[in-house]
Order: sequence, then C-alpha cells, then structure tokens
Amino acid sequence: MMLPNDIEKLLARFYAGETTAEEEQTLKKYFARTDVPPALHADRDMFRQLTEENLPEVPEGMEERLSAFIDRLEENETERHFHRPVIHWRRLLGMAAMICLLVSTGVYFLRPAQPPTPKDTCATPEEAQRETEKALSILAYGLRRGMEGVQTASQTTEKAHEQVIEQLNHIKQLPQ
Amino acid sequence: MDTTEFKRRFLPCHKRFYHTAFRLTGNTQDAEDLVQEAYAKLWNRRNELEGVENAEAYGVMLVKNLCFDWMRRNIHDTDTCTPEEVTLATDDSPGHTTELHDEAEHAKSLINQLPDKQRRVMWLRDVNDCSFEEIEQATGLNATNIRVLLSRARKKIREQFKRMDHDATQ
Repeated sequence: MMLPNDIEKLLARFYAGETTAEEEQTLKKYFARTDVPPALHADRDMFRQLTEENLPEVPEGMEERLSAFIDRLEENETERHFHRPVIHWRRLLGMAAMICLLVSTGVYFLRPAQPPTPKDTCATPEEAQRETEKALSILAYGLRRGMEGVQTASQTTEKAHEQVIEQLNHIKQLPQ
Repeated sequence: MDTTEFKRRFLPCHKRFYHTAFRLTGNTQDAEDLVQEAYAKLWNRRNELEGVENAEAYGVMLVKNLCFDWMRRNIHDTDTCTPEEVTLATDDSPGHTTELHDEAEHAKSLINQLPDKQRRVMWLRDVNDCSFEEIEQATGLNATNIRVLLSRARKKIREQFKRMDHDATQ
C-alpha cells in the first residue's frame, strides 16, 4: 500500500510533468479511494473529474449508415474490377516509336567525339612480321627483276662494244 | 475477407471507435467522419487483417492515428479538442447522472480556460491517456515542451480546485 509520503512524492512529479503513464495510473487508483487525507482533497477532486468516464451516446442510425457505407465500398470495387481500362496499342506503339527516335537523336548528337583510329595497321606483332616479310619479298623480286634488266643491258652493251672494236680494227687494216 | 465477414468483425466495434474519436475531437460530426474514414481504411486493408486477433484494438489504434492527424491539421482551430455538450449514456439514477455530468462539465470548463497549447496537451494526456509519442503526433510539439506545458496546465487546474475546496469549507 502506498504511503502518504510516496503519494506526495508522486504528486510532486505529476505537477512537474515528469510522471510515467504507470505512475499516473497509480495516482488515479489512489484518489479513487475514500480515505484520502483532507490535504489532498483538491487533488482527489481534480483526478476524479478528469478521469470520469462520460461516454456520449452514439448518434442514432450510425451503425446502419456505416453498414451502407461498407456496401458502397464493395460496389465501387466491383465496378472498377469489371471496367478495366482499355489499352490503346496503336497509340502506345506510336509513343514508343517517338521515344526511340528522340533517344536515338539525342544519343547521336550528344555522343562524345571519337579519336581518329589508325588505318591499315596490324593487330598483332605476328601479323606485322608476316606483312613485313611479304613486303620485303616483293621488294626483293623487284630488285631481282631490276638486276636482271641491268645485267641484260650490260651484256648488250658489251656485245655492242665488241662489235664496235671489231669494226674499228677492220677499218685500221684497210689499205691507205 | 468478404463483406459479411468484414461486417461481422468490425461493425460491432463502431461504438468504441466513436467514443475514441469523440474524446479526441470533441464534436459528433468530426468524430463520425473520422470513424467512417477508419472503416474505409480497414476495408482497403481487409485482406491483410485476416490474422489480426483483436479487431477492436486494431481499429481503435487506427481511429486514434486518424484523430491525431486531424488534430494536427486543425491545430490553429482553438474550438477543437475539447468536447461540446455531452449526452451521457448511462442508466444510473437521474441524480447520479446529473452529478457526473456536472463534474465532467466542470472539469471541461476549467480545461477550456487554459491557453490553447496547455489545453490540448492536458486534454490528450489527462483525459484521453495518450502517450507522449501520440501527443507529439497530434500537436507537433516535442517531449520537453509537452512536459513543461503539462506541468503548467496541471498546476493551474489544481489551483482552481484548491480555491473551490477552500470556498466549500468556509
């Protein structure tokens, strides 16, 4: 049982706004008793009047109105279920096409400038070696053909020189 | 949950819902509107409520939250929050009924004389047993402010009762 000292301490906390819900219930129960000291009668009256359960009557017909309201909620839900929205596919496709066009255009014009990529290059060192050897063999072939031509020209020149010498000697041997 | 089951579980709770709303809003029209709004929300969630054991407790919490939101929206309306004239539902003797009614009206009139914020806070805490979190939700005030306002309100009301008690003993 709570002593008057305990109640006074609780009351001090109550008027300071510091009591918990449980402590306030303790005070309410205490002041519902009949043996409250006269010094606390004002507090008792306050507690009793504040916590008096004065429940008002429910407005007449409220239950019927709520029941009808619930029926309307159900009807509205049923109507929404049977009247599904119609999807206009052609309109939807048209909008999708327009969006694709806009996105593509945006991507094209907003794309970052690409650095120039080198052309006619080899992707791997092996490929580069093959291409180099190929080029060198073409060069060698050309050089060979060139050398053959030079050799032919040299042989022809030598032949012509020999013929010129022979004719000159013949001229020298003619009577004067 | 079909309509029949929904009504079976929640319609009988309407009195409790109404009393909760009335104590917080203080007027019949707003209380009934908020109860109807609560039923609409319960209907929309009915399939999730299959496992709820205490339909009334769930509904009362929903009504309270709706009332706190309503109070916060109407925080500048000083006529809200404390009850209008109450028609008591009791089958006690007329004398007892009158006495209860008078005491309740007396307490209400004293609370109504408080400054607006003190009145709201004391009404929520000491009449409606709301937690500090609920009072924060309804008023937008923090816990420290609520305690200070509660302290001032309670002291003022106590002074009124002390004066009455002193006058009665003279």
